[in-house]
Amino acid sequence: MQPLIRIRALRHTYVFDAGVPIAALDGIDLDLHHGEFVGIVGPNGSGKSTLAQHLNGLLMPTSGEVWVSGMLTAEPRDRWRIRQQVGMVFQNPDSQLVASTVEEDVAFGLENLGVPPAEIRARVDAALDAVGLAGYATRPPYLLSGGQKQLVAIAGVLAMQPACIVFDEPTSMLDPSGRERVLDTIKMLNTEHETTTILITQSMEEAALAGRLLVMHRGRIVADGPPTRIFAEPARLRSLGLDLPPVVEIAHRLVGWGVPLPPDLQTVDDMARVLCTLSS
Amino acid sequence: MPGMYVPDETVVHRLDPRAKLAVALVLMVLPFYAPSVAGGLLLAAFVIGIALLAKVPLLSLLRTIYTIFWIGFVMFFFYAFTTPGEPLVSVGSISVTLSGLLAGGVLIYRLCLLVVISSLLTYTTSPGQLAHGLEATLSPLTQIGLPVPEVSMVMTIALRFVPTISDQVDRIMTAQRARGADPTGNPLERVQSWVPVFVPIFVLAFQRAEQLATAMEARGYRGGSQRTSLRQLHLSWHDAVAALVTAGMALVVVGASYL
Amino acid sequence: MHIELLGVSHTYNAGTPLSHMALHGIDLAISPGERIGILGPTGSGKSTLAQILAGLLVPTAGKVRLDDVVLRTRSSRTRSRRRRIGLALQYPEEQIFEQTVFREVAFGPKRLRLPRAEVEQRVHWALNRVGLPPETFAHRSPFTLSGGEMRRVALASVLSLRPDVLILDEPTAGLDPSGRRELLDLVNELHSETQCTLVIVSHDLGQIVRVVDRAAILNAGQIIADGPVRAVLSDRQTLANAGLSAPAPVVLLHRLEAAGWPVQTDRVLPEEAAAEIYRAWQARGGRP
Repeated sequence: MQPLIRIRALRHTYVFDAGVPIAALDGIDLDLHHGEFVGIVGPNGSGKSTLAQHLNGLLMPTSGEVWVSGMLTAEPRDRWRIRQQVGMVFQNPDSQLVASTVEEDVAFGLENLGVPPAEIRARVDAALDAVGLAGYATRPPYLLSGGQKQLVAIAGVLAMQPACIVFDEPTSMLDPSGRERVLDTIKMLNTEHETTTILITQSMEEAALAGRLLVMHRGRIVADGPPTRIFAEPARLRSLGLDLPPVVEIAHRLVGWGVPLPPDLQTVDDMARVLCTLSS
Repeated sequence: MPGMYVPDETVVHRLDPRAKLAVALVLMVLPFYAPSVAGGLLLAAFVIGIALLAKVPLLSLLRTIYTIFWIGFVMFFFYAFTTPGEPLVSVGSISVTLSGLLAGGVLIYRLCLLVVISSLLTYTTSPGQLAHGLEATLSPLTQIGLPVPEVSMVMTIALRFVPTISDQVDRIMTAQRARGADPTGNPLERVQSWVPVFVPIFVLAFQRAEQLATAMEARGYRGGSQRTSLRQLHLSWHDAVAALVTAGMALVVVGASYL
Repeated sequence: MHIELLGVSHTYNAGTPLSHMALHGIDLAISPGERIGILGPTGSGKSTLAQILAGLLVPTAGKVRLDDVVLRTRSSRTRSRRRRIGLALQYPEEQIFEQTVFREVAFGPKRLRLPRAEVEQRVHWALNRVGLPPETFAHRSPFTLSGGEMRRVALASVLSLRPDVLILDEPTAGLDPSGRRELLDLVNELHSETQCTLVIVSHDLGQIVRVVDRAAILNAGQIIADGPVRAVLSDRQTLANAGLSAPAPVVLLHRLEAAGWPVQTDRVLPEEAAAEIYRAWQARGGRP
């Protein structure tokens, strides 16, 4: 099957008043497939958000091409269909909600698409149900917690029935319980709804949830593979300013000292189980 | 906050916002066409009747006119002393006239009634419905090039962010106080102490506007013309009854002034 | 400075339908030079507590003592003591308003009506302390800096007050991993240099052990735990009661302990936990 998103030789250059062009994206070639769960990590300034905004045509390439479901993002007439196909959830929960009540906000995208009112109602209710906010339809945004606001934003995107959802650091402004709820929802959308999921994050623990990890640095993709393979090079990650998730770090050190652990341990459960079977 | 929307299922709440806007408009204009005491009392009774139907706590209503009443009270004295007519009481060359007292009283009455009517409107109609009603009423103006749906969207967004920005103002004020900014002192110092609050709020507002615009674009927003809506406005016989009752009452009030 | 909270409670909007009791009967004593973390979920009253410690909020009940002085709103003795406490709220870069970095950092000292030479000296000291050399940064507009740099400017503008007590509310919120590490290192160096009292409000349980020795857990306005940071972070039950999860290394160690391994469960950092597990593995007969 054709990849959902195809990127070829993507370059994005900003020119500020100083006149010196800055390459936010310096030659990206990438295929993203249906149903994948892709994590994107990298230090600040590596181009993660810039790349994300090319996926739904919010930004136009300085050179190169981005294809979504066979449509070119640079083509104005397809832009709106592309944005229905690829939804996006941003970092700041408040700066995504436009309406005075939850249900009106979730309906916003559908209203933009010109969906008939009866269908809007049904899809809004279904989306709120899917993210666990079924009783919150008439609640105003300012009475919601950060995590709940993000869930409303996710519902708003979900209602548009996209093939892919891009999450740009969705949890970095949330407290631990909000973070947990949002991550559970993201996982659920990928496994149960088969939504292609792109998760941009600063947290390596979150990145470990993905099936495929892209590491970005200075506008380029410097690593692309399953998290276990990426985590196998801790020195390289550290030089890029990134950490290992705590469990992975523990596993690495133990292996370094001679404890025979398998290479793909990521969760506390796996680790505990393996350690116990080892020395029995 | 007095006058803010309180969700409920009363007869008034369930009226179409367009009907409520029309009724409110008529009622607000009437005091200026009903100079008689009887007409005025009738109108006031009608408005109180609406308040009772809408289950608005009368205490809440009184709170809404609190400020305007005192403004009216100050102007009352102004009218009382300066309106020409038969003097009732005199202090030197300044006298209080009966017509002055009446004029002042009428002013207070009109001001308070205006505030009560608009509070009733906002109490029984959510901001979303109000915006919707206004947009629907004004949409014919799109034909002559006025950006009605876009302006409506701007209003909706502004309303939605009022509590959020209010919280931000509190936070920034606390942060600046923690650095020693002191909102006391002479008037000049006090004005200056607003700069450390206004500038950050403006900066944050611009940042937020950009983020919001990006998020709206990502969800397919491109201006108002072909958008559908979650809520449909339906005029029903309730609205017709409300319109007729209001019209009838208006006629009675105006008529009472000529008897 | 010695800070003491005795039976402190705080109710917002008392007497109205919106009344909300943010803190109930808080007893807390902080010694000079101590490093203490205040942990708790959102809504636990952490920010209210931070503002009360800073003397910005007078509690509706109970007493706040700074050294020997009980806090009262208008007294000048209170004011002079309040000035020795610096508070940086969450996302402090939001408070930036001046046109140059210098003026932003000088804001606090100028309010203290210090002589110009001293203001300048303090600004330079503060900027150096946060890793923004004045020669390069003092004349720049803070709005042209990166997010991390703006945060450091905001921090410098609190440091320039040379506070005896520094209260930081979620100092690492929104920073990337290297930014987080740099900020915590900065805080540690500051503490060694000035011996200020450090109060850090946070829900980043994984890293807080790097900067504090003692931790108190706040839940629904009450302190439900208060002790050495490692002991508090390895008390999974109390953390769970507050809706917090222990750091992953602690959870792993607890699992192993439950399976009979001879491990200390208070090794919070990954490197410490790894060493502890290795030791126990060897003790159980494991051979590299």
